[in-house]
Amino acid sequence: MDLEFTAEEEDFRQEVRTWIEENLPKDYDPDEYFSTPDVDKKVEIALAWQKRLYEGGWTGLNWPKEYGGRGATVIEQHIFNEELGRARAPMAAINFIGVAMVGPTLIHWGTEEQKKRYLPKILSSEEIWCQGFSEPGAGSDLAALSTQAVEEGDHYVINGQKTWTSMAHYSHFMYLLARTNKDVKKHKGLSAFAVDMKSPGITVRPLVQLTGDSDFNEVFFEDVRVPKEQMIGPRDQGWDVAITTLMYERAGMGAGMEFEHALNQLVSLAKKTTRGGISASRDPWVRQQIAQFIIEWNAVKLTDLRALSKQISGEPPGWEGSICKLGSSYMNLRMTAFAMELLGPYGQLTRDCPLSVDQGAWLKQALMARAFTIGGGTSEIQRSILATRALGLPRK
Amino acid sequence: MHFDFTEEQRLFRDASRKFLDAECPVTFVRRMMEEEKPFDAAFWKKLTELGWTGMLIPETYGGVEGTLTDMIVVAEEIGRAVMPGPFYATAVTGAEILSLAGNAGQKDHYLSRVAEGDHLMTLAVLESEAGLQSSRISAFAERGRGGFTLNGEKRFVPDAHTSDTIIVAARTCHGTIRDRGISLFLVDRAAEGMRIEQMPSVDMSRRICRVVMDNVIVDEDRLLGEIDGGWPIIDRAMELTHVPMCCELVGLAEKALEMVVEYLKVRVQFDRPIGTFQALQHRCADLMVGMELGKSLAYYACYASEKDLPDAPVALAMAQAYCSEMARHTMSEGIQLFGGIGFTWEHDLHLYQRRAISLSLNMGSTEEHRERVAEAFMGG
Repeated sequence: MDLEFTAEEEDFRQEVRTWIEENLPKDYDPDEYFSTPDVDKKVEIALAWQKRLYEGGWTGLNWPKEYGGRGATVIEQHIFNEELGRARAPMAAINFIGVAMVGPTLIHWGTEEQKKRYLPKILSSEEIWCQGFSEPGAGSDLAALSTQAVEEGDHYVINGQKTWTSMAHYSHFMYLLARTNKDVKKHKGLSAFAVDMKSPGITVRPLVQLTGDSDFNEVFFEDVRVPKEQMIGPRDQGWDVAITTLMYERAGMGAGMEFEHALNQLVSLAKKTTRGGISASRDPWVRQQIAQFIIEWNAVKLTDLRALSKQISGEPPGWEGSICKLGSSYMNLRMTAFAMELLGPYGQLTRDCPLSVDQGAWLKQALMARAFTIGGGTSEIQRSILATRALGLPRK
Repeated sequence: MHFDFTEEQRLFRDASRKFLDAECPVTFVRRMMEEEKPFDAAFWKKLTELGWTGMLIPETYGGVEGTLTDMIVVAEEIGRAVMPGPFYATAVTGAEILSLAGNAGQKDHYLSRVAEGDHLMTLAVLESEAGLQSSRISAFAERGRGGFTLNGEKRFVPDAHTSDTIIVAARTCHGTIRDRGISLFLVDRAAEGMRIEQMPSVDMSRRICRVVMDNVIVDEDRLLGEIDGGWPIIDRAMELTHVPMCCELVGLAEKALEMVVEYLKVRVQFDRPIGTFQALQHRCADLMVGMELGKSLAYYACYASEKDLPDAPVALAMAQAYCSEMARHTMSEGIQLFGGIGFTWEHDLHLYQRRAISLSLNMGSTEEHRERVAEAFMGG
């Protein structure tokens, strides 16, 4: 066992850290960024940061050099994400789908023309992408999707509806999954497309989340014409294309660094909160609870390192992704509920109330906590994956 | 960065598993449970030949001079096989204390015998309050001409009844400086004034004892390490002992989960294997999550301890708290998933449950482990 980084890797970390320190705008306030309900402002900050990363040559770190990436190793990618998380830099949410999912998918499945057309503008974040997978009738059962793409001359005509589409209202393109064949098994009749969001017939309608914010949308397609050369990968093989994409969606831990920050904040909160005349941080029950969250979070981080080690030595990935997602989302759910408990009546105050503690951030995080047990594959789907694929329990 | 066993360690694990499959089937475990003393000399000799008892002993004394990581490879397998009888008390605690504190003569005498499999040892430290703090020790060693006279009572001493030598932690001075005043003595089990009684307990395949010392006289040369300076030695030796114990808990949970999954695949009710029911699948998935998270904490505790990193004590506290609850929960859930058959004496799962209970409680309470974590992150 060896958990140390090599001298070169430490140098790389230092380089990243210095660069972030020098380039993160001086007036950037991470607390404000992560708690503001003003999505426009958030997107503006994130886009500016993406541009800076691009100018510094830091986007598409793991993309091959020939496509404008750095061809970075798995471990460099890990260090880079860790440093971004440590600095609480603006999350790449705005361009995440492009850089982390669409790019690698196009590199794997795209035609030369498609690569030339799309990859450079993904890296520069001139073109923002959204992902059109989920539908009202196809959530966990993604392959049941019913949005249709019907061939008509040199176009496909799209009709249907997508939902939970993050950032659609800021996107130039959608990476769409639609049904091109109804006469085969549901996994076998899907195709992937790059759809220009300005195409006539597309309506984007923001959905308001239970937090009151609007990060995602419903997208309606009415006779939307997409040129045939916009298909990604072969016809009816969209499922395989989508699987490639989901394999690259291993960014959970980047988001997870926010959980670590919240844990540190929780310790501060306990210290400044008084219970029965003494600091809550000296209350044995409070100490036990917080220690348990810290233990679980460390277990998740260490499990992620075991996954990283496997990746480095070229072993097939294990089930660590599902394990880390279940472990961290469950911890976060209880941790934020506990913070409410610690705050008592103050826990209900929103950021608009001048008497709220930490600008109402705990309330928001407690409400947001459910996003992590639903999005990116519900906890139930993760458990089914573990039970049937990792443990080998029979499906039928 | 390689947070995993080496290829060599994996081969060693496979060999260890094969050995225990052949030599330590559950019938052997059950036979040992029935014995007055669950110790089989022939089996111990085989462990010695594999290098298990001399794992942490330097080559100079006939040991293997392996690492703590090699030891946890074995510990996981010991858990999977619920291996009965003494092991850690001699191969880890005893070997470490002598390596750390023994003089040349003591090392030569004891370590080479342990490595050869001819000598069993244990550490007697806990007393009536059963807390692993120096302030809880009241057994006293009075210095006289040419030696010491020991009086007091020790509890929860692992394998004392089968040990040749009992390392006794006793107070030699009522000092006020923290952790000073405790000394270690190498006491023959059969010395006059030593009374050893088993404390009947949940895990019959591994016993604990009460050791009463009534004017036990030990020679000056049986003092182990510096007078009054024994506590840091105990601290380090217990840290090194508890790391493999956490890994044994992981091994127990891993094997229990495998047993449950195999059963759910073949047990048919309502005309289908019950493993097809999502209610049961998801419970198994949760057990897997707990086991893997516990494994990560236990492996890191080993790494930190082996490298003597500053966060080693906290890393161990995390592993102890998590693995203890995880293993006990896995057994409880496992029994539920087996249903009626899981509740019988005949079924093997309760052997794993018993081991999980005793192993975790012998390390202390999860509450105190969590408090150590809280102290590290939140201050006192």
